[in-house]
Amino acid sequence: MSCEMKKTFVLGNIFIRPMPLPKAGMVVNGHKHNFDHATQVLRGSILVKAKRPDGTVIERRFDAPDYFLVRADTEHEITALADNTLAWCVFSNRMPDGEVVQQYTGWEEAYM
Amino acid sequence: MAEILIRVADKVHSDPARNAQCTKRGDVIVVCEDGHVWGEAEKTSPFWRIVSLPNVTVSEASMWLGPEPQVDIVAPSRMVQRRLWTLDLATLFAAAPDALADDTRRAAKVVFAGRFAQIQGAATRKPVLDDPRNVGENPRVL
Repeated sequence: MSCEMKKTFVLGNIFIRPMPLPKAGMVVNGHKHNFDHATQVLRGSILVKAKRPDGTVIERRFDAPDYFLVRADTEHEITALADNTLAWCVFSNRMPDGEVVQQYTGWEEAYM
Repeated sequence: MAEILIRVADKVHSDPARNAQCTKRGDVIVVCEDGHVWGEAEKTSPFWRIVSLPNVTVSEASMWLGPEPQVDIVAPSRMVQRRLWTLDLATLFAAAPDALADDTRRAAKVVFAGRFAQIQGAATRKPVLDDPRNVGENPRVL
């Protein structure tokens, strides 16, 4: 099963993508981002499988409340280990040159 | 590099929330690569203009497509606007002001040779629109 992310929003100088995973076993398929971002596990539990740019593969479990940093270009897949899991992916707002700014700019590549 | 389709006259609706979702003068409608084959409506509509930006990348220009974001998912606003940024048409058409004024579109495309920073420096972030149905403060803003 895969998870649909919805209802992104901006809170002050950060961009938040909620990641609801209602059922254990739901998966956010492997992907990577242009920039570092933080993930907060607000409820439930997740298993993260990550592959760093140098090829290192790691697997970590995070039980709410917890958080972790995903480096840019680190491919990561997230699996819910419990029902009703909720995590937030938290990004900085950026200009197209990558500079972090205090307000949302509309440059979607900052969050991709 | 980029070519953009930009609106030069407000689209309006009598309902405030739907009006917020209508594109306005200065809104970028679409961003395409150099050499894009534009359609007839895009080349002839009096509401749009095509601007070639030989010194602006598609990635940079894509920023102007961003909508106004929601800031409260518990009580999302009906009034978020279709585009966050209004570009300054006087800047974009400084070299071809007649093309901006000409709704017959005799010039199908104009060129702005400046860089992203020049256009962005003259752009305006749209102010947040109040929802006529909401009263009081947002309790989540301290």
